Amino acid sequence: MTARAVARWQAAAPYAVGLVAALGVLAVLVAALGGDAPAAVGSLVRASLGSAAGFGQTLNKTAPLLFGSVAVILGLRAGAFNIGVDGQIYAGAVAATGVAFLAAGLPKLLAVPAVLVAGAAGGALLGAVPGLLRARAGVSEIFVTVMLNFIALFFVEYLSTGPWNDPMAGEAITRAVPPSTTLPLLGVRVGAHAGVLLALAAALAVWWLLYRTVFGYEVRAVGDNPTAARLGGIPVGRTVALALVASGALAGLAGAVEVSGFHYRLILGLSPGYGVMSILIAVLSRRHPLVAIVASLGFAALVVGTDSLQRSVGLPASAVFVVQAAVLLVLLASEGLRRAP
Amino acid sequence: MQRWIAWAVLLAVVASVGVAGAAPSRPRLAMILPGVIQDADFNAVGYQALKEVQATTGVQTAHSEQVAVADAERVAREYLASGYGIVAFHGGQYLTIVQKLAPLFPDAVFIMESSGQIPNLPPNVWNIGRKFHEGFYVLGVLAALSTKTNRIGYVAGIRLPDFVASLNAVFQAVAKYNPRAEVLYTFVGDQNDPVKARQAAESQIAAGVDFIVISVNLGTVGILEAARAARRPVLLTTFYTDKSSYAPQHFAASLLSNFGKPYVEVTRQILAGKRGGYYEMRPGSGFGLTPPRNVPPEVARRVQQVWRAVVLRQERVDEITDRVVERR
Amino acid sequence: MSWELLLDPSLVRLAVSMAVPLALASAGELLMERAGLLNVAIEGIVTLAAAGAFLGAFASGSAGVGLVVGAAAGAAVSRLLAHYAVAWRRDQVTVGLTLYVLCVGLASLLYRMVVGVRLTPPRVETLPPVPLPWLGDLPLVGDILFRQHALVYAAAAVVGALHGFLFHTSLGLRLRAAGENPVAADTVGVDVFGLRAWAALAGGALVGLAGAALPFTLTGTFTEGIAGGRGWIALMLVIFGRWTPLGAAAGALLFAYVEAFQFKLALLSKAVPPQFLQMLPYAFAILVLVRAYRGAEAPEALGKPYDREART
Repeated sequence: MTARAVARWQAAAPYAVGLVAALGVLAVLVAALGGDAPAAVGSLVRASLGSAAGFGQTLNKTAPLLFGSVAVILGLRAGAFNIGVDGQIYAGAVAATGVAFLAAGLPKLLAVPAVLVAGAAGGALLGAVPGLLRARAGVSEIFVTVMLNFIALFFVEYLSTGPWNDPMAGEAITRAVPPSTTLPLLGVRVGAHAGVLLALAAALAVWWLLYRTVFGYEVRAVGDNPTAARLGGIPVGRTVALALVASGALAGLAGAVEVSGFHYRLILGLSPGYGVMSILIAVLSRRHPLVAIVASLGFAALVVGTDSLQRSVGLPASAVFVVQAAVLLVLLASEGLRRAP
Repeated sequence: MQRWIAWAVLLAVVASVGVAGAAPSRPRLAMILPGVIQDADFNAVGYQALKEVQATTGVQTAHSEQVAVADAERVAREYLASGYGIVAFHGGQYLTIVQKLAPLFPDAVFIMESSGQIPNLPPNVWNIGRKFHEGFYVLGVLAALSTKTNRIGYVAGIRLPDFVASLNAVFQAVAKYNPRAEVLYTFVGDQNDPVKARQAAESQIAAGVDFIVISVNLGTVGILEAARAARRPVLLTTFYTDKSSYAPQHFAASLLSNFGKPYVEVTRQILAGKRGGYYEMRPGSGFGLTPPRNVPPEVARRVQQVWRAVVLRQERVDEITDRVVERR
Repeated sequence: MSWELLLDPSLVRLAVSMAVPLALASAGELLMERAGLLNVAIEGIVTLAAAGAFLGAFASGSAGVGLVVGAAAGAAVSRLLAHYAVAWRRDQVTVGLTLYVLCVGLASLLYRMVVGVRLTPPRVETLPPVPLPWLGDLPLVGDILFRQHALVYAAAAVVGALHGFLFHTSLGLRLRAAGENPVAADTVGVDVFGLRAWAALAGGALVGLAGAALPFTLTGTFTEGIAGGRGWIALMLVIFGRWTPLGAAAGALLFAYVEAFQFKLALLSKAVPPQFLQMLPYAFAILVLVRAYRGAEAPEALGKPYDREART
């Protein structure tokens, strides 16, 4: 075997360990709840990947996770931690819904792109806040993005229970967006919408941006060594700010896709933890957008699968976070062990 | 004689086989719940209703808890794919999913909840309309007649039409039964955050409130703590379940909700062949009032009189869901 | 807006009580950051400690047991973070965020597994107010400061002790050196790794105590969102307080006051939709942070792994 192949296997080994760890942790949790662990794992795979309907739902979940994880990756590459993906998803969803209501009369070919662009703009706006604060005042984006998450959530609550509320629903749900603004389906019974294709395109676009453009080069340079980058003439502050804006735009697209592809409304529970999952996926993918495609699919399958276990074993929803985080911790530890003297 | 017996036996055998073969396998019912069933609140009563359906109609049931709206479609599709003929959604936030799935699965029946009759629902949807505000009107009467400081508090979570209507009902009751009393209200933004609920209640108590009508779910324990920490006696009312055992000296009444009534009735109708319709859940058909306590007996009697009047629709409660009307 | 409105005694009293989790969490975080460890898992730790404290008290019937469990949980998770950061030199923010997710998930998982299916949600007794013998009778001030529950006094003691430790003991000096200039400290014989590990244990215990305070002082229950962003706020308070315990505690009081004031404001201003008032504390926190960042001097080596063999 060539040295390169050996290196590839060595790089992949932690992922295999991670996968085993995931299944192991899951088996332990299931057993602790009195369930049949092997059967649980089997039903998990079946529910998420084994049936057309299940796979469709997995694809639907992949879309926001992929958007979110490449958003985080873009930020990480510039050395910034975008923990505000949840808030940016909501901001994008708000903008998308608003534009959707306005675009009621437009033909589908115009309405859908308008809604998507609005979503990106909404997310970008929210990403600009930490970006500007970091560029101008050197404020860490970690705290700002988290606070903005809360603020965005309250704003969505205001809209979905106030001016945009659907009175018949009696809940924090807005009126439906016009049919001309909805994304096409990939198969009616399967239930998957075109959003996953958009997310795929976004991941490829981010890859191309990072590795084939000057801006991408600058982003990576700033992320790897800001001092050297500054000395090399790259405007560090501006680059980081732009990266955060772009990161926000990607997350905002996730929000737009969820509204126009999945719910057809703006709802309060639009993002059930996509933000934190995106961070985990980004780290797991070693900050590489193409690896994130596979990782997002894997996480989506895990979410869909563990949810089906809720019915058979009584595994609570929070278990999926435990499994995901445990996998990452194992991975981080194994890499650390390899590196330690 | 023997021939008669033989014919009779043959007939009986044919009849029993025919009945067994022809009897359609009963549809199974799956219920989707937004929270956990051990919340002793909204989800617990949903689960109770499910058990009651199984016990009274014999229909096999299953349930999923903590189903966020974002996941409900997937969960429902899984049930439908596993052959469940009836999918029930306990909560008004699933309307959009029902509207989406019902046309796609015309052989299944969907049960959903909302605050009233929704136009243009697909034919295989049963809609349970919950008229909370009528019950809250009576709680408002209790508050109006019991308050000594003439300051009544109302704590709710998210500013939903249901709760706005309930608040307006309280205003209406207070205006009629104790016009001198003032109603202070706070929407804390979360039905299940006891911390925020406690803070809101403490603010209200500090402003002079001595009777709080609670319109939050798990947040109730926070308000209870505020009442216990208060310097003067504070009375509370809750809804969904009777939580008076937490602190008997602080609870005046609870607006109980028996979702079993609508769900059993609707299931019976489905089994009888009626695949869609509307059932109104209101005082007397799903909502009940615990006997008032910690208040003077004549107040308790009056309140129960008003309750009966509301049940019989002799006393009308306005339903205003879009804005808060402070004075009537 | 009149002064009476702003300085309503019951409001200030509430703020003092609500400041306890913030003060304890920021004190713990501050201790870790002074040694050079940035712990962004703090929100998760607070949640996990709250769950652990609740379950401990629920199972044993004793609040003391609950507090110990909460502190232990905080110490354990922080020590794990320190191990990843110090022994394996992983990026502290990455590990912190991962632990944040783990703790939040673990908290609700453990709660579900221990509490199980019940008809009534479990409750533990909240801490009663403990009036101090002579101070509690002082007019106005006595009610606000000296008729509070035990954790208020404990938090005040912790803040004072931490200040004394950091700035008036040699061990505190060594710890600060480990965070400012680990290379120089190492050459003089300061055990950088060991100090960071101990800071994680002690600081993590304080953060855990903050989490434990939540069920015992506010509601007597555990709910998933009980932390409510307080962990993140504590991160900000450390910066606001310029990495000093007294500064962070002052920030905690300020923030708790704004939080309590929001509800009073809700009762008065009906024209403003409630959700905008709810945004108030968080927007306020961003503004405070931006203001506090000017001239704020973080410990030099904060967040950077100390690698003995590195050249830079």
